[in-house]
Amino acid sequence: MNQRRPVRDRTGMSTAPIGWSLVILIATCGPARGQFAEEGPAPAPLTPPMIGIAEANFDRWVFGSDEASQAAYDRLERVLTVRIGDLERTCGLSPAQKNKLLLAGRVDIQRFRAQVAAARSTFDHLRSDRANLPAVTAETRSLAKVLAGDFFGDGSIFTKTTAATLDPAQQAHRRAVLAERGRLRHRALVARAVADLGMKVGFATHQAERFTGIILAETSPPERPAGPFEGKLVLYQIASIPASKLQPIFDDYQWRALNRRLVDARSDEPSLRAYGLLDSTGSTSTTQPD
Amino acid sequence: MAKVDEALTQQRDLLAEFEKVADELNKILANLEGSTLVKRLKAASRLQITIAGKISDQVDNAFGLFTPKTASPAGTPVRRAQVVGGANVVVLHGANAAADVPAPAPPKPETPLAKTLEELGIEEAKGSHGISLIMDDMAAYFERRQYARFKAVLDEMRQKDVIGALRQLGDDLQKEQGVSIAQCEFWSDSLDRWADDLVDPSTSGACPGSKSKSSLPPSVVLEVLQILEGEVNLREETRVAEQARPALAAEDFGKQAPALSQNPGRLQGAGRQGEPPDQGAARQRERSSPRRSPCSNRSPRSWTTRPPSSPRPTPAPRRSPPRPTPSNSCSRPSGSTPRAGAGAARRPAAAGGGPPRTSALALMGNGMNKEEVRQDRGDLASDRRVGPRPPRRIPLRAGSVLQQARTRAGQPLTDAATIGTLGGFAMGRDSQIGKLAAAAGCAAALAAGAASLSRAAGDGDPPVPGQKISVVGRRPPTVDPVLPGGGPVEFDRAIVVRPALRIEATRQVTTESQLAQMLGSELRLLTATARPTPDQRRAIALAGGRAIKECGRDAGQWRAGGGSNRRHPAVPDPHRFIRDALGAAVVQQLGTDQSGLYLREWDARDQARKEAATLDLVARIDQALLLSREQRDRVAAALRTQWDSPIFPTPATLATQDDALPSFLPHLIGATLAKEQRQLLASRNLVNFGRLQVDAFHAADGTRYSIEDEADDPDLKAALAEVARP
Repeated sequence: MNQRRPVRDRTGMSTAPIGWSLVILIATCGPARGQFAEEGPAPAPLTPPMIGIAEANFDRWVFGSDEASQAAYDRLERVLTVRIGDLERTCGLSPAQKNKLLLAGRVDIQRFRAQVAAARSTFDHLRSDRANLPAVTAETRSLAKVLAGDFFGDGSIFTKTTAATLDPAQQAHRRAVLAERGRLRHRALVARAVADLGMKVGFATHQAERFTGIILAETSPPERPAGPFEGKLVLYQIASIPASKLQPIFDDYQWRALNRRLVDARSDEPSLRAYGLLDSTGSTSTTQPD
Repeated sequence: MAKVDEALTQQRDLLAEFEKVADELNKILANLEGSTLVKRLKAASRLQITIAGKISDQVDNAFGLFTPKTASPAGTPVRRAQVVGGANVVVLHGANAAADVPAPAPPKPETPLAKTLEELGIEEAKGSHGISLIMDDMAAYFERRQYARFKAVLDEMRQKDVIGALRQLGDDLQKEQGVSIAQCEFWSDSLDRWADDLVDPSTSGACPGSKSKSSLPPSVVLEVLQILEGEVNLREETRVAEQARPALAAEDFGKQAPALSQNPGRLQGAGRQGEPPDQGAARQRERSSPRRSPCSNRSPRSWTTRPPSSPRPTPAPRRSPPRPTPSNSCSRPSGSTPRAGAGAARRPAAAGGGPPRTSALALMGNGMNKEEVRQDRGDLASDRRVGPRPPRRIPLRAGSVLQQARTRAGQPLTDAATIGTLGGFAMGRDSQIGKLAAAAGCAAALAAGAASLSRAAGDGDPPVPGQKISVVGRRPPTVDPVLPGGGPVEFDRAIVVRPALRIEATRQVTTESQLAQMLGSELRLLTATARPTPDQRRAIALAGGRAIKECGRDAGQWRAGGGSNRRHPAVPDPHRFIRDALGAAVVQQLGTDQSGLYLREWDARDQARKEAATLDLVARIDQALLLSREQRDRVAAALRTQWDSPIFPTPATLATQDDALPSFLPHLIGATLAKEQRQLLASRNLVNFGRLQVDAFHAADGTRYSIEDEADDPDLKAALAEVARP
């Protein structure tokens, strides 16, 4: 296939010399076209490929899977329903209070949706270049953390509205219920730790009972949920009890075996401090007894 | 002047001594390079970036060589989905480019480019295998120490499916060079970041308390390094043991375990045989310090009496987690604590050299340390992991091993020996295990293995010294552990060891050591409840020690069968093993009344465990579903009925995941819950705890404390001696 431009008869149409026309013609066509005469149209030059981030990653990073976003919002609705049901059962909410709290909770969910939408917009803007991956993942990670944590806890509109909506008597009830729940969890963790240590160290049950009593007297539930560090925090609290109070419970063999484990528990202090479960002095941030 | 001459002489002697052991030191140090997780992750990271660089070098020859057949509408970007790190990416070609140009056809195999890419693909596959090993070790390490950062990193690695992605990358590398570069860089960054995440910020690899009062002679350094290497090797065998469960053999080989366990301890003794008399005082000074040092906290005895068999009981230094330890941390004078761990970890460019205080981390990795010698640790695990593969053939230099054994043993080899000692040969650690066996006087094992191996392999002619012999490592033929007649044997034979033999033996010893720890706990309980006299206590402890061997064999067989052993179809309770073992002895020694105090304590303690587990679960459910008091009571009652179920968690298993709920809850307490609570429970991720994994044979911290730690009790020591007696 010949790519050369056909030479037209320009007679009577222009005064330009034919020589100039030929020069322009040759310059326009170029010799390279002839190389592709047998191979079809010439390809445009390839630009270097850019590596982007696929859209589906956003949902995966925030919600856990591609299709999990709606399920996550549904779960938040269920959490809200259960929370309001608990308040209704323990504090006796009026219909107006219930509706107000339901609205507040949904505002939280809506606010989270808006945060997700904004993050998704940023993600769409940045995802064309893989170099933006750290910025993108930082944002998605923070959203995922919110979703996995205590969504309607401190800082949420729901909690603030609850505090403003309940009357003093209801608030007293609520505080009592929360304290009871915290104590139950703390007692459970202490019982678990004592049972576990009992198997490893070889406590008798009467020793375990005395041990448990001292632990419960000397420690308190943490001020905020310790999440995956609950067990370590309780062991650290046990390890922080003065040895003079614990050692008399056990005989020499038992105490040496126990003390090795308590020393090991103290080594978790950096992790607990990094998680914000210990204050600057190394003591546990605990709730005030009612 | 005389002093100068004396100093020069000393220096000359020291250099000569170093020269003698330099080769061995270098080899062992190279093997130890891959011993920590951080270092290995860093090395994997560098491997990826190296591959990316190699692809980049080749990519100029791969792009733009092919003529497009069709053209896309102008300005239409074309996206091709790729997978990077378990996450999708899209490749955006320029808007004005003929972006939908078909991907360049793979170069023909015979071209140099194709060959290079193929080699890189193989290298990538090896990298994937290496990552899988690292993840296995991380999982085992987390089980022992429960460090949250290890779990976080491990979870992220699993979530990203790094192994599968790298394997896929190896396949795609020949087709998508550009994307492969990006993927390699991505994985390099990720692996590097994960390595950094493993670093403990509180210590940064510092190792206090390791000051030595005087310089150790090189031979001692060598000995310590050999011990360390042996420990690393045992760790490797742990992983192999766990992952090669289906390949386990019959119970006949289980009795060979003691020989396997005694080898490293014998090495320690053998290493001191040539000690000069004038070094006795210095050695005496040093003898205790490595045992108590945070760097090498455990003596060989602790890991010989409790070798590994699974990820959970993997033996490792109790206070030496795989964090980036400065290379000179154990010999650095106190007061100088260069915090090179995390910092150096972030500077892989600094690897390959540096001053003596450079972090060992910086010296790690393929291509970074010019002197490194990577050790082939075999791939039994990978064979099982990825499904059927052709058996791997591992070359062994049996001749050199046996020659070394003969030289070092220097004695007639007439003892009947166990083939379990030879397990390491199949993993390619010929020289080290050979030294171990020889130094420990196990040369007869070498001989027996050699002869039987030669028969089993069906080789007509025995190999000559130095000849390389290929050994099928995955499913070698069954071998006879004892040389017929037990007489003098020929050395220069091939050695093939059936992995199952070694695995079962290791399992048995591991189980015995865990049961021994339980025995320690029981002795303490016995003392606190029944108050036996010292003689009575000693007699009961010895009876427990004898029983442990039998229990260990049964439990080892059950574990070897992957939990489906015919003799033990149900999950055996090791605590009950101990209880049954001690019961008769306690009654015999203490009489009915006194022994009743102890035996009744069992029931009380079991009840306490049940209540603790129930209370823990109720509190978790209450936190998640906000139960009413009535609901809590009903849930607790429902849970108590399930205590005897093998899937019901114990306090020890619950301690492994603080905020998880067990998977059986919807069926068990669904009727107790309100509709919203039921729906909320159904939407949560539920887990299978099971009591087998942690509590059944591991006593939760069975590997965190060595038997030596527990054995400050003389009666327990006597019981352990009973266990160790052949």
